[in-house]
Amino acid sequence: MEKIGDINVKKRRDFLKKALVGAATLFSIPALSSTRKEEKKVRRLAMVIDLQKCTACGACTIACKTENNVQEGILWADKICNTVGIFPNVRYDYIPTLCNHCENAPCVKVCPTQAMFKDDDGITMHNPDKCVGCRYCMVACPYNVISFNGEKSHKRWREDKPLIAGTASPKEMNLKVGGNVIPYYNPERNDTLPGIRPQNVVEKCTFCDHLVKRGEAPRCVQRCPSKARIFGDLKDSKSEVVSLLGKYAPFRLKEHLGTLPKVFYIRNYNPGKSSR
Amino acid sequence: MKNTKNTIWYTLLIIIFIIGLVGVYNQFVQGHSVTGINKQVPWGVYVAAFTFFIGISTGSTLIGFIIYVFNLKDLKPLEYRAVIVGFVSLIGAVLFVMLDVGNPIRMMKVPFLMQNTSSVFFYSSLSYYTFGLLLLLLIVALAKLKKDPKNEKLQKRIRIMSIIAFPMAMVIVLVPDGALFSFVKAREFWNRPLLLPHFANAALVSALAALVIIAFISKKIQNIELLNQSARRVLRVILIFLVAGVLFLDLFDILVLNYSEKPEGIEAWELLTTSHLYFFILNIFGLLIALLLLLSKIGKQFSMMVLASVLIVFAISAYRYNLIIVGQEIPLLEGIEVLKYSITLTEVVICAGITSFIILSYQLIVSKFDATVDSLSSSVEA
Repeated sequence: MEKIGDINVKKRRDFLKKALVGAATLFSIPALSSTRKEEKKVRRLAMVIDLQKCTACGACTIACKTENNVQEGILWADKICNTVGIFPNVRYDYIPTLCNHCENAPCVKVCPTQAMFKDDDGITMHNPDKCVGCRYCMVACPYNVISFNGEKSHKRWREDKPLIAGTASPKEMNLKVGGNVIPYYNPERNDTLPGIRPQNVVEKCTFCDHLVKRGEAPRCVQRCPSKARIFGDLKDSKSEVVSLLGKYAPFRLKEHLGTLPKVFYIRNYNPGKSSR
Repeated sequence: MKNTKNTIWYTLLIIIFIIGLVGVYNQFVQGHSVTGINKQVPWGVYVAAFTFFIGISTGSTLIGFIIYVFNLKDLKPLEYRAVIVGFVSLIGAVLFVMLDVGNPIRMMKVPFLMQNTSSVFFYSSLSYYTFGLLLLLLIVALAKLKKDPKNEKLQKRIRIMSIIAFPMAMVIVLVPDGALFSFVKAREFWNRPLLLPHFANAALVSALAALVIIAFISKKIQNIELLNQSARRVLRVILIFLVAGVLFLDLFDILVLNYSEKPEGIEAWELLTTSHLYFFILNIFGLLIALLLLLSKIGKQFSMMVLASVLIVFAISAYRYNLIIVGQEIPLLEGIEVLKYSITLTEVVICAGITSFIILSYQLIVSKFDATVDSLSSSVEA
């Protein structure tokens, strides 16, 4: 027969054992979860633009506009054109531009409300609900790729007056296609960002994050007829982006500012010239 | 006579204010398309006006504090008014921001949301709220002190508030007013170390000039003498030193722009001497003429001092305008579509309207709180 004292000692031991096991389990949960986090693949999405393949056709700009329901006067996918030299020794330079999704993004740094933020894939995103419309991001961006929605969006499609007398007005045209704000409205854009951005907030390229999240490439990459745009993960050593960056001497816009853009340019629009 | 002048003065201010309201309505209905801003120049005249009035606000508070701490008896009538000018200018500056941003209501929440602490804007909005509240408390306390000058408890409270307000004014003029621009690496015209001292100096000189103009208006329209001969002498000397300081920094700016031979510097100089030449002339020659006027014998006359002050106010506002606009008009990338900023009629009437509102608010607060103005002015006369 066990003594009462022994029973008490056993009970105390059991309690201590259980407490230790419990504590170990409790402490191991965050450790396990952090391991799981590490296991989750972190991507660093980037774009390479092969300037030699680019024909300056502007298909990227049009594809971007229709995909993202971008309104008149605003371009998410823009360009830099430059004519250099004097006739007959003259050269035309063309560089397609878009948000560089900088690793060290100045727009994210200066935004007072964190409306500009980096997502898990390193894409610089914008939350219109938080935006106060101060435009500090536009001032801080060295690439001039952020636009401000200063007036009611798609103003032209709300007009009652027809462009040519006797024809249907833009508003009537709208009603014919179901009353959407714009006839070419893409509802998919609404997945991650308001399909049509509200007035008085800024907007910019999102690397078509709604497509990227589904495993597709941004629309400008898909629609480029000369396959000049290549999209991929910088952390994936087998990606085409990484191999192209290794093959050619890439350059980025305004590298001296230390913003670490993730849009790389290779080769030159004028074959035979250096990459820059 | 006094009443007639007063009526004309107030009627004029109210008319300008109403026209400004029409401008606000127009912007509210049509959006920012009625302003001159574009993708390359997202900050227009509202931001320039905002920096100007923030400068007046902080500079004026600093002057009020200096008069109080050093017990400058000759300038005592200005002490209370300097704090009021500081307060109403701050309100005016915030109004300019409210009109400039897309969502003013959301903007008001910025300091309370405590979001991005790496943004200068976050600190600036936080400091404006605190500074405004502090100034309001200071005005109320000073008004009470005027009625009960021997109240030691109140004196102690004012001293504490002034001690807090002084570094705050310095922080505001340097951090939000200067750092908001000089921290922007993308705009090389702003990204200069000389910008911060320039902002601080320009703030002080414009505030002092504004106070001289206020003293003149008080004398001419309301028959209230705020500055005696000795006070005018002191103010003239301070103005000479401050204007010389701003002019020195302006000239150094020009030297730096040209001597560095940086593309952005050359581009800025080209813009300053072509499309922005009027404002550039107003800035440099306005200050130069004001300095010469103050240094000359006729500068001892109060009317000449007022003329110099008017020139200073216009020169500093031209400096702010050029700084904001030229800083953005320099193309960020070679070959990019160059977009220019041109001020619109709506912006002009809104700016005039808010300025009228600032003056009206000043008059209202002075008449509301300063019940002892007449007795005070008579003591100054004595």
